Amino acid sequence: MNQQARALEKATASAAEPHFPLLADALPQIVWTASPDGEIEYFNKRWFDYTGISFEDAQGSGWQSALHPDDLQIYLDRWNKSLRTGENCEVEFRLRSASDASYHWQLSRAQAWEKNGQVTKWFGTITDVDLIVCRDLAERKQEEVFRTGQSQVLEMIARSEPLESVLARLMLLIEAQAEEMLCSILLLSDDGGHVRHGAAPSLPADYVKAVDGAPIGPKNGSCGTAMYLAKPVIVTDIFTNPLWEDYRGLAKASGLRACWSTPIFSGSGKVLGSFAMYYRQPQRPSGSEAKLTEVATHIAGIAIEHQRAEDELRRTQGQLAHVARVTTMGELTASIAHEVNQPLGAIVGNADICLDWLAGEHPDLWKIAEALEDISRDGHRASEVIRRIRGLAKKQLPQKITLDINEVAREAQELVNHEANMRGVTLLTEFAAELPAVSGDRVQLQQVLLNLLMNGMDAMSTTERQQRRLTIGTTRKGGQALVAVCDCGVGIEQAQADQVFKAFHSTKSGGMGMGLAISRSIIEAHGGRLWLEANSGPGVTFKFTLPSSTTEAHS
Amino acid sequence: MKEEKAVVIIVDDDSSMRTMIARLLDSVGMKSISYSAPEDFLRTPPPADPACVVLDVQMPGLSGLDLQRELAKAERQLPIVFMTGHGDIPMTVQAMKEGAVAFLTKPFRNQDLIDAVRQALNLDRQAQKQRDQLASLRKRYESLTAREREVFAFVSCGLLNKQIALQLGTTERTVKAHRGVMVQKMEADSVADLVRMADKLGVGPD
Repeated sequence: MNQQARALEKATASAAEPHFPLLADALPQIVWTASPDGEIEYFNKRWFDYTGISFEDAQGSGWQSALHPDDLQIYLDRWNKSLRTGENCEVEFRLRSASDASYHWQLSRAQAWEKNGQVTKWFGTITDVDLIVCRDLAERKQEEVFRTGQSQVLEMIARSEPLESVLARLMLLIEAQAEEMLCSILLLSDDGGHVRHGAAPSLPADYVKAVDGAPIGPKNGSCGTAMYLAKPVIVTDIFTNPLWEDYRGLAKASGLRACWSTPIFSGSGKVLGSFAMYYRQPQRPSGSEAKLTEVATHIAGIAIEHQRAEDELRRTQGQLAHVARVTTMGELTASIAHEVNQPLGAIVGNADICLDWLAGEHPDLWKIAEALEDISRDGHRASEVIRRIRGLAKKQLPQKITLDINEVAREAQELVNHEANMRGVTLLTEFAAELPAVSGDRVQLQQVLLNLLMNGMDAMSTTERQQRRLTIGTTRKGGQALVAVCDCGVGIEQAQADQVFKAFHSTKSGGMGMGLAISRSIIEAHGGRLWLEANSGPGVTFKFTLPSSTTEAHS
Repeated sequence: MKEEKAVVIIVDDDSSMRTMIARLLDSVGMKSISYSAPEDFLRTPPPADPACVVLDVQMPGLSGLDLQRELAKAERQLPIVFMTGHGDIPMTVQAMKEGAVAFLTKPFRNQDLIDAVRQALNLDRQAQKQRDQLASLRKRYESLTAREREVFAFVSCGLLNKQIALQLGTTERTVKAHRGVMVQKMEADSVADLVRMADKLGVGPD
């Protein structure tokens, strides 16, 4: 720049000299001079070469036709201001090139030549900066794509998408920012001693598989060591670095030569895993990777912590649901005892009869066989009751399978059948034949139904015996399955309608107040909705929807 | 051993239990009829022969205790043997108070049921005997004329012929004649006998 300014100064000083045009024509830039009021007095040859506009045509405002219409006004405003004030004028605009009939970015500079405080002449240069500006734009564009990519990954985290797909997306995003680089994330196992596969969309599958489950330690490749030391480990050449002694063959077979690994930390400073950059040739960090590493480890840390928190939440919810389930079963113990005792009573009775017959002189074997058949059937019946109850009492993480909701409803109905008898409640069912298959956890959905059925019975404890009707219905609602439990009980006031779904809200003296809150969270975890509607007659209807398992696969 | 002309009515909603109990009773030579719902049982007329009911406490619709109350309203009161899946004490107390013969908790020993059923049938036989006696007594009473019934009422509360004649505004002789016929018709041996009969019939002077 200084050089340029000096050249300009020199040119200005000798503008009147005859060799000035020669000098100006030798410059790669456009050079011009103008009178103090801005009238063009001179263009060097470069102007004509570039714009194809002759000196005569450029006179007055003729030169303006070479400027990009969008840039012209901006330039004129600045130039007129300089003409008034005598200040330097520096503006970027696009100029039309005659050779390729397209506009290119230019840096235009104009400076006043003063004598005794009076402007006597304006000198200007126009330099082609198109390459620089375009590179700038491209960089800006790339930067924007990178930022958009980051927000997309963060959105995926917020949507609770599976950790592996979040991390894989992040790795692809990072890889796109640098040439020849492959990225991976490894997670630290729960016991804190091993590495677990996180995401490595571009690394060879065999390599990824071999690394999964490897121990961490002071000499365990880049990642195992980085997690162990909780410090970045830069290995510029795997073939020679002692940290890779045990894994060198594996890396060689996978064509990996350099690996820089950085630990990923939780908010509280615990190591969660590591982020690694691999190269297929020996490679030393250039410094530009630091930012990528920071972005990768930061977002991966958020994703992993989010996932852990979700897992923890799910576990806690599962435990709570289990407690609620066992509580409900506690309310059903009398019924359960009856259901088991009934077949047991028959079994014991029949067995004693058989024994008596066998002790007699001429036992009738046909009669004995008949009684034994009954014993066998009742034995199976008792064990079926126990199987159902065990299923409910079992403590296990929710397992989603494809279910027939009618079957789930029928099982729930069987569980409360006897309870309903004892309470003088008539159980009715209205099952639709053709329902979409739903994907869900059988035990949890049974729990919801059980809860709604028990609530319905409680609501009718003061109802006339003949009117105690509880109906379980299923219908199709669009692509969803809708289940309704309708009672004829005391009903729920409008003001209470939302309260009943809140935790620890109970209208019953013995209630924990968790049933409906848990039921709603179970249904929502299944992608459905649980709500209540007042009946036109007495009582309320609780309804819930479950999306069809086929539509869920689409979303 | 064969039980003479008796029937056991089994009311239980559980078919396994019904079958087992019927089989058990059959093995000791007792006849039985099974009902799965108390309502069905109530709709059929009571048997003429000595009978008892083996009843499950917990059933849909009418419960065992409800049925007991229904049966108590009827003239023919059948002895009841209760069964329950899980007998709680208040329920047992109430059932026994209202005249249950026994309260068995499932699973029970077969012999316990047989014993309870025999006891119940014996009770019903005794009740039947009393019912028969009362029926014949009533028949004899109904054969009396209006005047003879009046004489019966006064005699049974210990009035002398003279006093009765005064009450009826007639002569002692006439009373004596009525009384003779009345005693004969009622097949009474003594005044004490007449007093007991009046008590059973619930008859007294107006």
